[in-house]
Amino acid sequence: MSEKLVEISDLKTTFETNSGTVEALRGINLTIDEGERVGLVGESGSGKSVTARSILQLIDSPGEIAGGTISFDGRDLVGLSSREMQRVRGRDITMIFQDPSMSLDPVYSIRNQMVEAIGHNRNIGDQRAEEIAVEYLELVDMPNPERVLSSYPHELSGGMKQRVSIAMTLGFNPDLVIADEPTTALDVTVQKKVLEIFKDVVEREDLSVLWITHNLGVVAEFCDRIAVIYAGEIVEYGTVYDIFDRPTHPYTRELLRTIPNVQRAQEELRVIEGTVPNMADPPDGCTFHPRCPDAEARCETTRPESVDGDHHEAACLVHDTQTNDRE
Amino acid sequence: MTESNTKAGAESGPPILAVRDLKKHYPIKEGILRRQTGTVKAVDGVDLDVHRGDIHAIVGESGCGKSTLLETLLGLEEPTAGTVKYEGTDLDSLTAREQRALKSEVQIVFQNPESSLDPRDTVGQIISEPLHLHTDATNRQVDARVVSLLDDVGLGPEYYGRYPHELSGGQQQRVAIARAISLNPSLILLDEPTSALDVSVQSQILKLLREIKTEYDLTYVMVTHDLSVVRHFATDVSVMYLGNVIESASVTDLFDHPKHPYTQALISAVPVPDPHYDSEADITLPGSVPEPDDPPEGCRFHPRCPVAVDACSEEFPEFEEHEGNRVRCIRVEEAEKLGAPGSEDAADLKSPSTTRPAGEDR
Repeated sequence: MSEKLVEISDLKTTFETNSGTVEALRGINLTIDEGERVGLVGESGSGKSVTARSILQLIDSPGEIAGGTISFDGRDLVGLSSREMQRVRGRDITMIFQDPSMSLDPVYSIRNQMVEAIGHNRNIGDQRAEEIAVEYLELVDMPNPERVLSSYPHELSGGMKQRVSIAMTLGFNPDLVIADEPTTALDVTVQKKVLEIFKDVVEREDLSVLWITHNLGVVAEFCDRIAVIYAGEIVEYGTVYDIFDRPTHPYTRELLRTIPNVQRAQEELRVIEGTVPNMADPPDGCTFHPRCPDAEARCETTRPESVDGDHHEAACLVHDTQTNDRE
Repeated sequence: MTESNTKAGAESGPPILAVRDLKKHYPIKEGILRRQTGTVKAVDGVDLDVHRGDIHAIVGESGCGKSTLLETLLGLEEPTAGTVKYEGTDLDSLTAREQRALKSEVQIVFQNPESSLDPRDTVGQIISEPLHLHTDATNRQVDARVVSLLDDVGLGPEYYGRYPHELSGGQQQRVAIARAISLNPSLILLDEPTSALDVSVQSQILKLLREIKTEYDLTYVMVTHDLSVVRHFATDVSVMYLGNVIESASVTDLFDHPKHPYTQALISAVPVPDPHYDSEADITLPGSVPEPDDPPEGCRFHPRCPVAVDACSEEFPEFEEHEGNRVRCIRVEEAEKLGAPGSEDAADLKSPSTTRPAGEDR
């Protein structure tokens, strides 16, 4: 087993609102090994982006990390001063956003932005930073890096902008890349290309990746392990094969049956009835029980134990991964 | 319910919607004198036949002209050339009054319910508005109809007085669907109806659209970029690239035996939710879609095409029939050797050397 790079344990992030305290993350555990690609899969409001922001300590008031630890390379990120955290962001952990405009400033040329950001995060001079910028632009398969460097963001297409933001982010030489749906806004043929390029670079540089998405297709192609998150809790964790071949938690099973597959004609899609719970007033017991086809009386009152985020496990009172895996 | 994915003898009779050589061009004007310096050919000669009971999906990537096509069908954009016939009647030949009557026959559901529903109106007001405008029903009759429409889309009467912001995205889309069916239309245009929704909500809305279609005897024209949804939901598919339809077929023929190289690339680009799926054989296209103000000569797709030859840059081929698919391509046989994604025999046909377009490995 390789070294653990990230170890999140019992992380609780809350937001104060007019209707009370919202527990966006209700005690999650998650580990990411060095060189491993973990997919965090969930629907909107499930807490997947809050997880990313918690790791980067970007939770602003009225939100706060109410408990738990985020160990990164042996150091707890929770409670670091903002100055210390600034050094971690960019140098050790970087983030790629869904909308590349979030990481590109429209009024500066790509050269200005890449050279400054890479120079700052690597503590190197402009000339060396520009060499690295060119190197990474070539790595993400940009045909003419010199021309790209002289362009402004609006002169590039969406796919090219996303490739530039990937090149810039990876150019910082981080250990962990948090990718928040970086290909969702792209056309499918462009998405395919960007995914392939990203996968190549990540493999070559042996980077760890936390890939946040609702797209199970992308996860199946890209990730080693998957954490399925529902209503602020990780309901199932395992390898891609565990999750797709032996899904155990009823939410995971139903979710897999609701997604159409372009490669085969299907019977009618299954429907998960109901909606995600209001996080200001989540249901007692297991948060999925009101929508669960297998719910029993105890599910309404007893909360299942959290998964430890290290091996195939489901947070469910009724189903057990061990019996499921043996079958 | 697989039979809903096949056609129930719909071929007979005239098409409910017949589009011939439809064009929508936009002038590009520059300088102080606003001289026209170019033309964006957003839709550049589209033919489309939609039969009663079809779910006809128009698919393509951004900039292919699918949204402009929908706006033109809806009469929001005046076509530059070509005709749109609804049940055999040319829209241009109608008087304003007749056009208005026809408009209650054709309704639309947009991608983003949040922006298509007036935030200041209650759900009841939103759904009853077309009833007040287009029928002589009394207030009481309208209210009763709204409650029954709410029931049809799976919402209780308690939603009558609520405002859009109090609803989830899925519930908002249900309200938009209720409004669309309020006048008993024959044809509903669906503009990416589930793209803004979560996957579990998406399947709820697709199921609802199917139920409503049966109950109200509807025909759908759906514009989308989501091929997984199309395969599951549609009966017929037209694939657009740079303002033109380049392949058109039944959903089974299109996905099991895609003929056009672009269709093949498009299908194989969709991520497959199955870790055992071997994506090595997929086709990755070089470059991106060219700007529609400067489309390539000849076949619009040839600069990115893995099987293009010189002749492809000279002339844009007309439609030809290939086993049930109508395709604008002169290289269909060569394209088939790429290994049609999804077809059972694809694996035997392809070797790694034929699946990658030359020049892709820059």
